[in-house]
Amino acid sequence: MKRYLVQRFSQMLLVLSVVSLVSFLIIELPPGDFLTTLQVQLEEQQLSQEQIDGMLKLYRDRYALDQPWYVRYWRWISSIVKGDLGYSMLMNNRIDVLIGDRFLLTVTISITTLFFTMVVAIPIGMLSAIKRYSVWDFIFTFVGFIGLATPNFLLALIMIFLSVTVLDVSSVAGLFSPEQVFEPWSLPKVLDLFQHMWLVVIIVGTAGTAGTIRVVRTKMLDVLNEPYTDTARMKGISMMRVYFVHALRVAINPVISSVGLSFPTIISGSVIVAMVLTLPTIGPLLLRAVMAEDMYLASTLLLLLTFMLVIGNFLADLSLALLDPRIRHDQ
Amino acid sequence: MTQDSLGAYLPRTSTEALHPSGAVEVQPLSFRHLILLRFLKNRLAVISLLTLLLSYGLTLVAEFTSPYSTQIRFLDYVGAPPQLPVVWGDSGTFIWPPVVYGLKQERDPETFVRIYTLDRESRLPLGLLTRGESYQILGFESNRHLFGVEEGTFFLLGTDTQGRDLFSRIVFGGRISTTVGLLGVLISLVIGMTVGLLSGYLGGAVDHVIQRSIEVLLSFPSIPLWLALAATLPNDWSPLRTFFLITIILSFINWGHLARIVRGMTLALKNEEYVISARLSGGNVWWVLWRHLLAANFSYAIVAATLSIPGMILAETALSFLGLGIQPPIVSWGTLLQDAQQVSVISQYPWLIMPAGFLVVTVLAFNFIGDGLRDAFDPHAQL
Amino acid sequence: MPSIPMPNFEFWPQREKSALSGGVAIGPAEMADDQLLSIQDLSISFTSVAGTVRAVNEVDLQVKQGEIMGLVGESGCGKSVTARSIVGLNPSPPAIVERGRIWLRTHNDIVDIVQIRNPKALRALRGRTVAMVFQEPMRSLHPMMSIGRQIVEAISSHLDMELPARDRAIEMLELVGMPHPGQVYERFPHELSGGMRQRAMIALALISRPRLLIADEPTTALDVTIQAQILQLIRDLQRQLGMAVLLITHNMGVIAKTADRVTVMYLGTVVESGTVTDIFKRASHPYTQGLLASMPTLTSQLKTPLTSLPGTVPELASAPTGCVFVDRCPAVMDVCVERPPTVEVESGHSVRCWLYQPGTGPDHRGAIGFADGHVRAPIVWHEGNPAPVPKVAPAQRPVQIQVEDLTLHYPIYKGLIRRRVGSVHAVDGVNFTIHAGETLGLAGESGCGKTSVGRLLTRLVAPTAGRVLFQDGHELLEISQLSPRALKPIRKAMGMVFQDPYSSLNPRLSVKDIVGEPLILHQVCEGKDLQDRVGELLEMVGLRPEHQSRFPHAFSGGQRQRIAIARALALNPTFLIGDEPVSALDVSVQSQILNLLMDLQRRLQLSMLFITHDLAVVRHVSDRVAVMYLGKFVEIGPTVQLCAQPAHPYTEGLWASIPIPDPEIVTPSSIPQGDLPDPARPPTGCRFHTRCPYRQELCAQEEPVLRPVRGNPAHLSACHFQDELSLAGVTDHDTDRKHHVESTVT
Repeated sequence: MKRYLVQRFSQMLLVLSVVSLVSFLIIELPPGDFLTTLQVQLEEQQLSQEQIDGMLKLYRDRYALDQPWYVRYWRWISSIVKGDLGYSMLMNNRIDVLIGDRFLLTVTISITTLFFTMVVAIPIGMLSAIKRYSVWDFIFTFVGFIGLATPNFLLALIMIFLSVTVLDVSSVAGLFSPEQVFEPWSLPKVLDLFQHMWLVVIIVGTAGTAGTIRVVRTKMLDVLNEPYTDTARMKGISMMRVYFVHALRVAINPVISSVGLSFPTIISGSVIVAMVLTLPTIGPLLLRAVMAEDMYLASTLLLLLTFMLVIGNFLADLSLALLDPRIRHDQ
Repeated sequence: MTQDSLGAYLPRTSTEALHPSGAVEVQPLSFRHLILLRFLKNRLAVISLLTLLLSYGLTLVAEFTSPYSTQIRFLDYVGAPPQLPVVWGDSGTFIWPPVVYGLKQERDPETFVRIYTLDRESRLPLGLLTRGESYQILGFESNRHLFGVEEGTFFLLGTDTQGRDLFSRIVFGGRISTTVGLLGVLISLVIGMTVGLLSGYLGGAVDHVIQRSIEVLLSFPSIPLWLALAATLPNDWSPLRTFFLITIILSFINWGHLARIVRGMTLALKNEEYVISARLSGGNVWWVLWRHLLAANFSYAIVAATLSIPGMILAETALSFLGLGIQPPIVSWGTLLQDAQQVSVISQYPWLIMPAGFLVVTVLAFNFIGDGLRDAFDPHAQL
Repeated sequence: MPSIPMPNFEFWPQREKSALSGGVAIGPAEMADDQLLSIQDLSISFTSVAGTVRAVNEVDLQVKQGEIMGLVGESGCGKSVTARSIVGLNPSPPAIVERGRIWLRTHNDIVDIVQIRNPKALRALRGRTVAMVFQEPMRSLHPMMSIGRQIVEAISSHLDMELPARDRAIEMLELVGMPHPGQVYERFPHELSGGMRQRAMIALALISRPRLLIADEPTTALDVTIQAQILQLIRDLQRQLGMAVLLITHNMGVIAKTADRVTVMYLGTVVESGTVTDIFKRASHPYTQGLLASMPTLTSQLKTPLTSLPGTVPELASAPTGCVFVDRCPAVMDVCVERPPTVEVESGHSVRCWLYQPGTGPDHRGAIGFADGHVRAPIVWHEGNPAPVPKVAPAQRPVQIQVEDLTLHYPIYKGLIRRRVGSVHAVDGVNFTIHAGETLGLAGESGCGKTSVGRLLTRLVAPTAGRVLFQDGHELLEISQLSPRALKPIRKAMGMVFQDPYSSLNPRLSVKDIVGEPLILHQVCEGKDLQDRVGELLEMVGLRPEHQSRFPHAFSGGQRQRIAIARALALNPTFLIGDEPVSALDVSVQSQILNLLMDLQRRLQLSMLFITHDLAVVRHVSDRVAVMYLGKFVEIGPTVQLCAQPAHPYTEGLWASIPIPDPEIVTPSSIPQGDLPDPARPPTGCRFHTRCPYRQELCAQEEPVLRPVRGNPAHLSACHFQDELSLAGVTDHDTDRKHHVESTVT
């Protein structure tokens, strides 16, 4: 177990460093000198020449813009690792201030969605497999396909549409009640968040849930055909025990390891849904950064999201190793 | 049940069910033929395939299929609701050819919002191959459209906030959106199969490096990465160039999954005895890859590719929806849905959400076809 | 699964017993007191979109208390379905019991399984009355639960618990011969070897002391020495615990060694049943006779054609409607298109065949009288004619391939940077020579490196060290270092036949493309010539030339193997490697392929390396035999000597482990104990010393080398004490089969 952990951890570090390199490359991709763009920007703000020169020098030193690319990369990544996310030059604010609670909210939404997906998909997938070709199986399969085919921003639109036409509410958006938005974090505020979040979670999680149902169903069918399921049945224990203790333990494995696959979808989904619903999460900020071509901000946000994903994958693999002795014993 | 698995009690293929005592006095079926038969058994997949073929055909000649072009604005009919063809008159009389009622525009006296009512007096006969705007398609010049009205206007699905015919725009948008899916998957299929085959067959350090790279690639959340990449596209590029680049960006990220699937299959297949036998018979790497592994992998790759087309289409739509994908004047389903972003717009012009219906149907159809193909290729499947 | 609430089975009041069996009257009068299980007239069919096939057809099967009943038949004969129906394990749909009764004596009752509708009542039987052991120990234990937890879970809650569950489980593990049961209790299945897993599985099955143990191919996935251990264990436990065993297998040898009574099935029908002596000494049904005749035994004349059943087992869907064996039977009569009756030819020995029906069989065929007064139809199968034994001793012929100090070490890499942490010694310094026209048999258990030797000779893998010299027509050429380009003409002279006829033919290519592939790659011929040559090759292996446009899936396993042989011979090779070429085939087809290979070898003067784990096969086809253990040859010598007087204890152990299809032969108990060691860490000294019954101190310290046995330079062995030990080999037993062979020879 220890060796597996060390190996998996070093693998994660490797991936993280390459990911950061790629993110940095994206900063460097747009043609043209960043400083020129900034200069124009600053001139538009009608600052004095000294001020502009001062600002430019500040950035040049900070990001080593007159140095070769690897020095620039090193500056950028080492300051991020130190916790200094940097400064959005085009939005004129510190990136960590811009992010504020957004990152935390994104993480909360993503993880809650993940749990929602599991809690809904696993029982339904099992039911579909156990009662194969039954009416329930047919209904869930059909609903699952529709769920897969509906992009979540569309689902968000439909929700908005329904709330406007049917419920006659002017806004479904928002993660908090109006009176809680600007309050500092407190227990009531957290509760308020969860009260408002469910709609977002459903919108973001539908596609993933549909996919996970298919995975659970397929794997469950495989497991039910395995000889060890027969062994379990031959013990004379109840079928519920066979399904939930014996079969589920194995069938749940691909679901956990596919957290690595569904997590990117969830994060992507939450980003885009957040844009439609204008939620105070990373999504709209990323869109703004991208629209304004503030590549430093955009890459930093991308990096943060990817880090969160890679760490999530690592945790998924760890829990898989805890569950499955074969992985634990490095087979 | 392994030795006496259930399969042993069911005829393996239709051919073997026929032959009398293990003798091979039967019509030999080729592998392809067998797969075709299995696929045709899946009715949902066949219907989906026909639907898609039809819609591809219709969108391919969008200029002919649609009554109007994408940019023509009917300033008298801004935000007009859908006009449905009428076959039964008010008094229950049968009307043929079908007609559409004309629209009468009024303004709400208080809010000055346009209100359209059907003008039952003005009956516009609906015709096939009607004359309209002239267009050029494949070097032909014509002014015939699949259907339409010769006089007056006909907006099957209404018009948008700028008075453009929504149906025509959906047809044109469909051409772009579905092409992005096909083209993108084609690109990722080529990259994915090449990389996957080489990675699996060569193994060793090559495999190691490729696998780690794919891992990194797949670690990125796709939409944020697309956003970041799309933002790096210069603003001054032509919309067509942007379109191709978006396609390439999408497939650039998508090939990783495919390469992994193909690699896994190749790993399993390269120790199959027929592959070893081919090597012994004097086949080199390319012969083995081409003659044995490519064909065997192709079915799996095709299934995976078909199932990833929806993802591509949805991704393009999402990007365009956010204004980072296809740029006007080119329309795609994403850009059409952009109009429906605001709550106020949807509440006033609910038909603007119609492109989503087309999108969902297309994506569903691809999913059904992919599923059907997977079952057809499944070597353990019963006919 | 919805289950109707039912009171605990064991405490169900006596007077309401009938509710248990779904309201059906208790026990048939004809079920004798010593009967445990009585299957009567059972028919089970499977429904699919392609139609309905009857997998089990009017089957009668009786198991008495405390006996071992062997249920034998080839794959697809319905033996597993029959067995699984006893515990209701057949999935329904698609399985439907059409008719019949399965009477089972439980601890206090007789119930008809077919009539039980209540899943809870069925569950109560499982584990407690009937337990089951499956074929693949790899897959029949839950991969993520510890052995102990799995066994404890199987302890019936109804048992009186004089011991805590854990102690009971450990006690049971000890009973099945598990070393260190206390530690194994905490282990997971993947940490145990195949044999140990099967022991754990048996412990799990027996923990609730069932009256009937169903063992479904319990040793098929195991090596021959492990198989012998497990069979011995099942026999011991059966006696010790006084339970009955229903042993299902395709292997006649396993049945002969283990069972008291035998039931033979073919295509869903019981064709013959009787005591083990009835079946093996006085086999009556043409199918049973044919099956027994077609097996290479340890007493058969070497290198002679084996008797073989013509054709292949048909698909169930196209099974004949009358006698199921009608299309393959040499004694077929007009009446055989009708379903034959079951005739009792002697007490307790019944046959489903028209030959024995008074008025149809013997009258027409002329019955022959037995000394014991029983009437029996004539033997319908005859041994094949022995081939003329080659005049020239193989050793005097030119060398075809010579191997010197051949070594293959697979590195083991671990970790992110793929550090080399050790190596598997797959092949470790092997020397041998194969002469022109000679067959060398290479025998050994799985993981001994025999397949690697084949791959090294063909340079599919490059050796770590050593040389391979190959006769290319002019000279002995060193081929182990040749470039791929220079290797191509050498490989032209080599052919290879693989084990799995399903994986060795690309399903996407036609037979013409498959057989013609080497011809195309070596630019031998194309177009019409190619078609002619492929046709010629197909004819040579007994297939029709016009079948070359067909695809592999249109052929049965045996036919596919013929196609594979045709491909291997396409370039007129001088050297053929058979890597377990008959192991995946049904017994009745196996002899056809062996005959074909022997015949082709003689006709084409091929040298052959015949790799197999099946010693009976290797003995039959080889001129010389090499025995391999953990990457090394432990013994090599002429077949006759190696069989009759083995010099290495491992060879002796292998011979002793083979289940011989003759219940009268009692094998010595020198079966190698324990498991094959990890090839990455072979034992010091003699690699076999950990399992050797004759080991001494020296064996663990010093590694023996191959040296002549009793001064015979043709017979080498690597044992320190080979000259002191006198080991038992395969001695010819004067059975009537043997007698028959000799009578045809003279």
